Amino acid sequence: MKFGIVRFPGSNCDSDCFHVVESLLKENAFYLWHEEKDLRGADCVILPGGFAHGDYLRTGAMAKISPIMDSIKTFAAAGGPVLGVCNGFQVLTEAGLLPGALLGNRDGKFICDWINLRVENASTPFTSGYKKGDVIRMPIAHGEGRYYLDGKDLATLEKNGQVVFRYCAASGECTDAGNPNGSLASIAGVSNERGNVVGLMPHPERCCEAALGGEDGLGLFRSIRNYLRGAAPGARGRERVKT
Amino acid sequence: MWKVKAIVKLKEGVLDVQGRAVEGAMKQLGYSDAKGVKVGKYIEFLSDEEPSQALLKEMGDRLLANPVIESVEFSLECLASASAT
Repeated sequence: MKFGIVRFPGSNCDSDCFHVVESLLKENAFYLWHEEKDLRGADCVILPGGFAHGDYLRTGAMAKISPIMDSIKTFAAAGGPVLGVCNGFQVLTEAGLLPGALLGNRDGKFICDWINLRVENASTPFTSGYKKGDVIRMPIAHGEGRYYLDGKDLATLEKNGQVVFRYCAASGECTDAGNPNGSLASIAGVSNERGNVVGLMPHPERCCEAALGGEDGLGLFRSIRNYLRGAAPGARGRERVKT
Repeated sequence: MWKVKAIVKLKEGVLDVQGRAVEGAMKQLGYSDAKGVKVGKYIEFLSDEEPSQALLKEMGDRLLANPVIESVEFSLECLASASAT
């Protein structure tokens, strides 16, 4: 399975994603420079974290018009799985591939810390390896992670089941204390209507090895590998995949 | 020659964290009367032709502002041109 990892000038979490795909999933990863127009047969496209174009104007604002984005939009429209992590999530919202916008954190500080996430939708190609309601631990590292969406659009998002992850306390309850950045409705990650494009602010690629403090991110990568290998998301329930 | 000036602000109802921080700093400096501080962006550019409202709106929607969270106001200034007849 081929994973295309997009690099914008300023992306810096690309090699962590590459490491997870190649060394842990044992699949094929390659980099896609933002000026390329050909996705080179990628089965899945990942937009990694970082500071694409230095976050100039707005985070993700310039990246959305990079030449590669047209190919990614076509790929996504055809149902291709696309994952946006942190800055990648910001780029996807700017590009209109995901709803909403990411703003500066509520308390005005960059936060680098472990947080708890509750899985809200275990039916996407990226979350079928989890169960709805699972509480997992992932690190965040962002200054602009506050998710925002207009009231009525938010209602539609919730109704469609497009909320994929929510920040929560260790108990699984969505509390103010458990919401690190003031995101509306504690939203940490969303999908598009179809479910093939998912974005999240936390970093799953930073918690796939016990040595780094946690392995809860592996579920996300195993889910997409399962999906690409032909197992329908959620069809066989929660299945542990042996690497 | 036209100078286009754009002021980008967060929409009403969106928490302005920078504005709140600046307001706190102003109070700390003794400017206790200042409230409702908003921090936005100023963008300007030159244009040979006078841009229409529709064109400006398009520029705003496509790039200069994020319509989900920001509003943009444009103003135009006609610059004296040496080649004007």
